[in-house]
Amino acid sequence: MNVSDKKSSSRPLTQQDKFARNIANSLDDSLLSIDSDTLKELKEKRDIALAQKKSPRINAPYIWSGIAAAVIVAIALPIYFNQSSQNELEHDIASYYDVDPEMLEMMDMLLVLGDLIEEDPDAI
Amino acid sequence: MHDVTTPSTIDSFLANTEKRAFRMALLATKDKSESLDIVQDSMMKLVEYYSDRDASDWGPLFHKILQNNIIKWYRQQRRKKRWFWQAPPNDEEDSEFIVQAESPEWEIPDAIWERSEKVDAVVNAVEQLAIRQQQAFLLRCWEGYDTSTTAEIMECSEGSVKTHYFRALQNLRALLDDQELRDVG
Repeated sequence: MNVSDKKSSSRPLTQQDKFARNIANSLDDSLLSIDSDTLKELKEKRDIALAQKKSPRINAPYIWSGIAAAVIVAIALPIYFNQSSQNELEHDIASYYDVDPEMLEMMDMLLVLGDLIEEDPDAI
Repeated sequence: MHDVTTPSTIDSFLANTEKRAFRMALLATKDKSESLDIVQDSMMKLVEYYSDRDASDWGPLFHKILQNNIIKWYRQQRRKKRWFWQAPPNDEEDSEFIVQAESPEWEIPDAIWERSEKVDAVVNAVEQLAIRQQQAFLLRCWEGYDTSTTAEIMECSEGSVKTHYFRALQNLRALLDDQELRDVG
């Protein structure tokens, strides 16, 4: 049923409705002129489309998102754990010697300075 | 007239729809192979994403995909033509064909519908419509969708659909009138 038919149930067809219906009828008739080769091609294309239903494609965007997330995690996790283990080590040493961790950092700097003086006493 | 009985399987839905979809694409593209590709792509998308939806949804969904594909093709062609400095195709924004008529007279003599070449004349006239008018006309008049569903398919307001549809009718009338005059002449 087309739009003109729907209207016909509620009110008489206007000239405009008749005009539209005539064109719709002509378009329906035009389907008869589609040649057999084209119809065959259409059927082939429909079969190709329906074949997807039987073997659905893997959704590529999800796969690539998953791979990207895995790579980020693989890179970020070692950096994070390395950093946190370094911090833990410093914290452990500081608590062992019962000093402030900041003091430990200062001691590190002094040691570095000591090494430099040892290498070149004339530096100071 | 288009049979709106809802098919039970997507296979039968596509079998029922493919010829009309091909004709719609052909009216827009005027190219057989492009039209076949557009129809195939539309069928593939429907099957891939919406085959599990309710059968009554397939019609509007399929037409939405089809019309989007036609518009996509149309824009590609326009870009190509612009690149090669050719005249743009008949478009709403560019060269809208509006019939100036205060009170349109819709009556067309019955004789025109009895002519053997009337189908060609109608197809030719519909081909000449601006793409949005063509879509509104085919979806409303040929597919039988109401204004609201057509607006959803065309992704525009109901007011736009009404305007496109009315202008399409005006233009078709003018084109077919001219055709008749030429035939008589």
